[in-house]
Amino acid sequence: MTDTTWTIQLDEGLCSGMGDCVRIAPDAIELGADGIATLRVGTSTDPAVLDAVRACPMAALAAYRADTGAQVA
Amino acid sequence: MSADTPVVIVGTGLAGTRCATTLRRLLPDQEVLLVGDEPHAPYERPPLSKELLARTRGADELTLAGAQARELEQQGIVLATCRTVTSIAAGSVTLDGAELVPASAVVLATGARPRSLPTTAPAGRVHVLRSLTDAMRLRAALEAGQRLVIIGSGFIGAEVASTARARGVEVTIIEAESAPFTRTLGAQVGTWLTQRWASAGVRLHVDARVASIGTAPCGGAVVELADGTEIEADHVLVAIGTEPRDELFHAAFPGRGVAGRGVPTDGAGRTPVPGVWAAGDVALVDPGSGVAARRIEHWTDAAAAAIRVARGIAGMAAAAPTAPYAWSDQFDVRVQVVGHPGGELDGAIDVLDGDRLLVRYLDELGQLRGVVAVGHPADVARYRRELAA
Repeated sequence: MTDTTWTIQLDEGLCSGMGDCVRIAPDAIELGADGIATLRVGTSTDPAVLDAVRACPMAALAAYRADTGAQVA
Repeated sequence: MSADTPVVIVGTGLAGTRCATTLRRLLPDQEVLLVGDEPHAPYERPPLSKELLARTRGADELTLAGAQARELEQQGIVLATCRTVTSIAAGSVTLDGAELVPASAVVLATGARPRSLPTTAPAGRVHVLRSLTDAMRLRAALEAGQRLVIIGSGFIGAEVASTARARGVEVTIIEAESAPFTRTLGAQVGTWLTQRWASAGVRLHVDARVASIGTAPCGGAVVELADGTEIEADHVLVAIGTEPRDELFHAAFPGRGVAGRGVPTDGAGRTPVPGVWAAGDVALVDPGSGVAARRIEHWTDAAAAAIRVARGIAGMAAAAPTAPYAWSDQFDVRVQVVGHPGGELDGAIDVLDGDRLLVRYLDELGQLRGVVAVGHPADVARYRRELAA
């Protein structure tokens, strides 16, 4: 965990249910019954969420610094 | 439609599997039979050219999300692997030439097979890459210091080249055009990418036609080009595209479309034969908007098409349209392709620097028709939304 908090955003319309994000950050993201990702949390201090966002081949996930709003992944 | 008579889905790849799971979710009482000729339960194909070859993920770690054999069973889906559908009709399929299974609907998700080239090289030297079995065979061949010749420089060829170089394999790519991706992504993108390949030590032959693949004097393979150049290799990968596995449809329904070009469907996955649907790499999709019918061999599009078919079988309205979308991880970058880029028209290049790239393609009317991007995920998300509308 770090001092920085990130806001995670998901566009379900762009998600194809590949599941890479779920493998990387299972505490933050899960697959719903429809096979499409859903966020378990809105914000996180776990750097794994940034890896999950970057891993998404669909560009369906984004992460922003909670304090500045700057997009970081 | 009787819920007791199964929907039979032919093919256990992404399209077939996603269609099965979506159908069960929409119609919980509908029997679903998912049948495929591969020995494995459904698995992910994208890692076959990357993590599996690189040995960072094992064959047992390629399960499609939510589609392990046990999970399918829990959802009430009957999975039949190692079974071949030998013929279909509207209302039934035949398994292994012997067992007639009634079907309330038939979904063809048979995918495609890699094109091959004639060869007289020793057995085990010439590879294609499509299935897990292919990938395991190729993986065993990729030892440091070995020489790999890749015929074809599409995404599969480039991804294998990237993985093989990282493992210390000597890689030579043979491309028929003057630059890779000239027709698909445009010459600028092709040139930008091939500079990365060269930096990674990949040798590239362009404007090169393969005349033969034979046996080298010392026992390996030798690829002879039309100009007489001979390239010796320990292994050869033929990655020159695919052809649709559309024989079942054309044998059953002659005169509906052209054999070898795919199973004709509308934008919802309906074939001209009531009760027969198709999704994924086998489908020749005519969206009906004046765009030429085409097979779209993208992971993302196979998933979306499968969901459309499931909704259609369930009698539900079509899901919102999506823009074609593909990605390729190679040489430490991720190339993302939205819509219909192409080489015939000049692309509008917005960014083209060391590690990032954003090229937008416009049609004759100046409308955006496609985007190729590296290192611009936020723009990719935006263009995927924009081009879907």
